[in-house]
Amino acid sequence: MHEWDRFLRDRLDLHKAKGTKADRMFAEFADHLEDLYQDAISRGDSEEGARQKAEAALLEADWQAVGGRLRPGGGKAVIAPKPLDALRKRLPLDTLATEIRFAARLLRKSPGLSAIAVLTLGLGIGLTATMFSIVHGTVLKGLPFEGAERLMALDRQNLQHGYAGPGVPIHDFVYWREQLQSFESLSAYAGQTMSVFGEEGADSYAGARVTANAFDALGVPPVAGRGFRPEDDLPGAPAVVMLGYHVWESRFAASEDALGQSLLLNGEPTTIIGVMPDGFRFPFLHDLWTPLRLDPLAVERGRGPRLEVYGKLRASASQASAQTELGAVAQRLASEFPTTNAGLTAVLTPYADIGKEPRATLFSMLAAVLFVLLISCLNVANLLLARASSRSRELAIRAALGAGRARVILLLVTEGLVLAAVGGGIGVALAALGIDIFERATASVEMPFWIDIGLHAPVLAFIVVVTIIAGVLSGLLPAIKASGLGLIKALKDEAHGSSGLQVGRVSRSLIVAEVALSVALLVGAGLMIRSVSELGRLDYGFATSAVLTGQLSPPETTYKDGSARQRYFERTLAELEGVPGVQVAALSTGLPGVGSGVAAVVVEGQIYERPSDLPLSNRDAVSAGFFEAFAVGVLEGRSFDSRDRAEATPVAIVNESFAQRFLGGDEVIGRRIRDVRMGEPVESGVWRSIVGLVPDLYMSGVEDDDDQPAGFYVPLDQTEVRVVYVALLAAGDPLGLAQGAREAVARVDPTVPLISIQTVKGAIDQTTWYFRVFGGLFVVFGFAALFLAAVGLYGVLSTSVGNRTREMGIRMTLGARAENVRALVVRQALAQVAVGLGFGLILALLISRGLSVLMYRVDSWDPITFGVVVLTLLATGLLAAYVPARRAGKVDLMVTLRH
Amino acid sequence: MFNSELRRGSLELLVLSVLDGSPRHGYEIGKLLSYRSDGKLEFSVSTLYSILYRIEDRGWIRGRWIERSGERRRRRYALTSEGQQALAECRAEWRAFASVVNQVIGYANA
Repeated sequence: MHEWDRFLRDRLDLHKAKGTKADRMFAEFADHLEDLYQDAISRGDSEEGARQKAEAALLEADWQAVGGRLRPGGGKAVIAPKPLDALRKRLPLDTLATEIRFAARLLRKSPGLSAIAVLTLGLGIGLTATMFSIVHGTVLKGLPFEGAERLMALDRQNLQHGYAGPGVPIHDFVYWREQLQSFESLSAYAGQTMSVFGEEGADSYAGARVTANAFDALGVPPVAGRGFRPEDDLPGAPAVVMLGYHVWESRFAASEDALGQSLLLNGEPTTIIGVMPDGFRFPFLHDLWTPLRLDPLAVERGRGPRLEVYGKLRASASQASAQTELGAVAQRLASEFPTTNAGLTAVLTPYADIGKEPRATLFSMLAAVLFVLLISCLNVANLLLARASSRSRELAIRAALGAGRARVILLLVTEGLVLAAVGGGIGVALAALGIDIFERATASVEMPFWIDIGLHAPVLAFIVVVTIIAGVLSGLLPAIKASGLGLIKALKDEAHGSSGLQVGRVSRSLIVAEVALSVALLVGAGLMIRSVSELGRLDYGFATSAVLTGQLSPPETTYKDGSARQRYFERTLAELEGVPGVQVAALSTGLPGVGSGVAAVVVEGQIYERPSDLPLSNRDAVSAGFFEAFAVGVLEGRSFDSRDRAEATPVAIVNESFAQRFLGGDEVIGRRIRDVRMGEPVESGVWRSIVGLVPDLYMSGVEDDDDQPAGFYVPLDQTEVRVVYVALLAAGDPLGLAQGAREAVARVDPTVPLISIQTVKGAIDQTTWYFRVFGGLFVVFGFAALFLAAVGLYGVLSTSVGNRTREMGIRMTLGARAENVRALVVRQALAQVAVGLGFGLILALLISRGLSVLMYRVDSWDPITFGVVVLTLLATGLLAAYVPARRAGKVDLMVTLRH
Repeated sequence: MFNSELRRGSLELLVLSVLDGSPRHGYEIGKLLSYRSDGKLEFSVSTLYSILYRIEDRGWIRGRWIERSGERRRRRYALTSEGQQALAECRAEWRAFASVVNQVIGYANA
């Protein structure tokens, strides 16, 4: 709309006219003129011609007749209700709807700014929503069972060094079950790879042997057939199995005929009695369940299979009270059975607890992404602030017409909300994309079945809340500043080409805050990048990409004792050695770089009072070619060979850390150690002669970047082994050996498949997935923050230069050269960046401490990372200042003076 | 087109009659007068608004700011009940006056 107001007041020589009556009349005349103007335009006149016609209409008029009305106090006043009074009387909802329409219209009028604002908010909201859906799916959602928050996992703990061995022995479980009052019931399971043999061949599934009441605590009934009954769980009972839904679908086409059928499970004919619902894969990622059929009487205390124990707290018990009771029960056990239980206690943790560290990491990342959102809001606030300054006249007039400060604030906040609403829509789309990418990046990671990341209702609700807050934040600051203006000041400022709403201290502070937040995020991102690169550069000291691995679990029902299994392993090893392309074949109970077993160890010459005092060491049983398969040379002594059979002298090979820690770094060859299974009596351990020394091979995996653990190796033939890894050193591509290896294994026993076939490098990478995935996320956050801060800085500088053309022009009139003016702009940009850097570095130091768990061999104050970030921010500041600086230097003096 | 004295006397009647029916803003009133008279009656901005303000002071019309969807806010005037009455009286008076004048001038030429 053409600005008639000034014209009216100028030409009518009525500057002194004031009051609501005058304003009203001016508004009316302005409308009239506008109509004249628009009519002329629509009839084909040019803008200039139309304007002149309208102005002419005004000048012809006899204003004396009207004049009386315009002089203060002239004429009888019929005070029409103030326009906004009428509006105020309406319902608040009406008002809001009006404001929303008005805001939407205004935003449509400046599409460029609106687009930038919407995209900025969309990016911030989208990243936040992605991160929150990850946090929600992994930590907040919990198990999909009723009362899942009362489900606890129980485990033993060594009072000295914490780790008490894998699982809980049968007798302890039985004792707990009898004694504990705090639980509705106690259940247990033991994981077992279950091979199913049928017409389609052998398939291997993750299975679990469970107590009959295992699913009762979860409140999940079978979807077909029946669940386990106590009689199924008795030793010697007929073998039965419950199928996971996926197995039922793929092997039996989800037909009810499957119930009652028999299949060969681990070599034993087993009857299918029921099917569990889709998505149920308790306890972790399991697909088949059989009864545990515990027989405590058949096994010596301290021996036998180890169990994972869980139970549901009674409604009357709390975690703390149950813990107290459990501790007391463990103490009674320790005093009744000191040989096996001395020095041991028990702890319970919520079943779905992924661990303190992962939880801390996830929440830190959520905090980090909220930083990015904050930067988005600050950017949009700056944009709206800059625009409000060019609307100061319109806003002031609104205020003069009785709008009131609250109303103007409402308008600007509404604009923020409208922008945020659209941005929120984009954010949801971005979140869907982000979740998809995350799931693909973690597709090879085995996550528990209850982790469910997606745009569920709580996540969407979170998005709505975040959107509203973002909108209010973005609109509130400009609103408060803009609404505080007086009409005359605004009109005067506009007349002089400056703006009362200077891009001043507020804007600059916002930029400083943005830079600070960006620095913090970028430092985090930089540390992640360094960590991942350190991981990638890690010199393992053994062959990884050239070695193929897989797993074998000969079932106990077919191979009933140790010697049967040994014969199986011998035959399998011989077949594997014959596969074309295999240079060396080996079997072992652990993989270097991935993990190994743990045992208690006695060093000859040392005295220990109780079993729980024994030091722990990593331990693996390996076949003769193991070290050669990984291209590792022995440092002293010899490797295992054909001499080291079951009947021969028991021997061991130790690694360097073991030699340092337990043997004083002296001569190791010929010394003796005793190899004791965790939790078993010392006397059960075998004395072994050390025959070799090898380098440290990351026996606990590569994650632990502290000192490598002490470890020793024993010959495969000289100990009891149930599940083994296969290691095949390939002449060429190791994955090319896969088919040959599968066939070789099938030739020995077709019911036992070779599973988890991958390169050793692949297996190691799987253990470090979360460095890459979360590191990657952090990098995304960091760069999003940098981008947003740069855009914000550019926007603010641009507006600032635009508003100060007069000042620039005057400077140049007074002799400043273009370079000086440009330098001034750049200096100011760098000043803001520098202050932001200062705060940001402090913030970064604080954050990096919290992220230490995601860092690999990188100091949290790594100078290279900090240095690079500082330089990046400075460069960004320069870049953002470039265009505005050039514009400042090009200001046309004449244009300036006319302003 | 017509003698200004003649026009001025009938101005208030003209404006009231245009407002009979629905509320209108100043520009609309001017355009309607022009339209209904086939362009023979055109009023300047000042004249139009001074009439409006005068009869508004008298209480014959009431002006209000109204916002319709798709349009900006305009001040529209509507007849009050006194205005309705005044309009009826003015119409009657005009018809009576016109017929008397016709009678007199026609008589002279007859």
